Amino acid sequence: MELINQMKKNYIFVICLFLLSVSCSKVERYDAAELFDFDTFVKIEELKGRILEFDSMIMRPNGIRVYDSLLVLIEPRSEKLVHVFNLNTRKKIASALSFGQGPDDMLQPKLMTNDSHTFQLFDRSSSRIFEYNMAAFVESQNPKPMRRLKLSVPVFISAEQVGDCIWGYSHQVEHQLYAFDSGDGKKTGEIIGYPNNNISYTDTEKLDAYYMNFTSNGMNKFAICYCMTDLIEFYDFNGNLHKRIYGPEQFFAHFKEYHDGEIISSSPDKETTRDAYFSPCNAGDCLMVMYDGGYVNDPDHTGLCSWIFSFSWNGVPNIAYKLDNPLLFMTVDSQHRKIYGISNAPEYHIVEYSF
Amino acid sequence: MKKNILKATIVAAFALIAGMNVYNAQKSDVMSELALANVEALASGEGSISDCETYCKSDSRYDCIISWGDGIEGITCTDHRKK
Repeated sequence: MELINQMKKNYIFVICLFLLSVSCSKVERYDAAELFDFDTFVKIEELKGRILEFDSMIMRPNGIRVYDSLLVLIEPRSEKLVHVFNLNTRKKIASALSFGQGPDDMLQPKLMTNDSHTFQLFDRSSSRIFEYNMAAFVESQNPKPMRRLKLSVPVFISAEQVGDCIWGYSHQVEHQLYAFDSGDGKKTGEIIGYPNNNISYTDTEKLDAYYMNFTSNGMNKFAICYCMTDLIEFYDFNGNLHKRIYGPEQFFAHFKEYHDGEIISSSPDKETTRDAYFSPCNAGDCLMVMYDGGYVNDPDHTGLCSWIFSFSWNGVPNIAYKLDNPLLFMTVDSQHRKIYGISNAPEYHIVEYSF
Repeated sequence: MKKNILKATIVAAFALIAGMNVYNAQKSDVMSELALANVEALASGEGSISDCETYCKSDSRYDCIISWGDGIEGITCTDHRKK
């Protein structure tokens, strides 16, 4: 009898020890995040891509947009930075904008989300936005912008029209974005803090860990898609968080800060760093975004995404599309239900998907 | 004598035109990586192209931002990520 009691005591001790160890272990998590995985999607669909061949060679584009039947590519290493192709005739119809520092030149152009009549480019090197008439842009050898807008403080990586404002990537510690008056480019505010989790980052580590891209639906919603943690946040146009979703594989970005003279930088953790979301696009009634999931240090990691996910603008997972020809960048033509993407395997080419 | 000068002039003109054609043909449409990085670095005000290679590695989906001192100044290395 005494032996049984002793065994019971031992069992209770072991269980208590286990519970204690579980409760004390540091589980990394985001505050107020709704988890999802591949099973959460309404369906998983395989898409077969069609390679589009044009009369001119595709060099090494790093930006793509479609305006009705026109495909626009940014070629950062070419003498002309913007190349326009007709999707029906498969002919290049315009090459414009020089690489340089003249009034109409650019150094680091990035395509902004536009309607089909106007065409906006953001030059990251000068924080200037150039707006063109699409028809005039195609017809002229040296198109002149209808409007130039200089943002009053430097903006990194990207800027987008959000409602009546322009929001730009701040690369600052407190807020991720600056808001600007779209009329005169003056800064009107700082918005959207960083996601809360129980990982302690230094300021530099936080800026690197939360590298992101963003887009809006043009009406009332705005999405931030993080590149090194599989997190997406949906906001309204006042910068209020509507929903934070975390998945499908739930990983974090870990960085380690270091100093090298005047330089302050941080390095991603070699074992755990993975690529997450890229090229978020407004597809009308849903957000479409490419998902990678690969480990950066994996020798087989290509940087190409094999998945495109669609979410409602309320943050509900809808369809997961599996691509047969993985992509580096994409754009969505929601009207014709087409996806156009850039791939670099084995050479740079354009792929069209129907969804 | 005059004929010889005329011939020499014509030959020189043809050589000049041919030379210019060869030069133009050699001018590539694609800018070198070095030229691109140089202008980018210059446009950014501070830093050097070697910083991009020292602190970042090539990845066309990212821009790598390197900061100095209090973090206000820095350069953007396009198509790079932190390494």
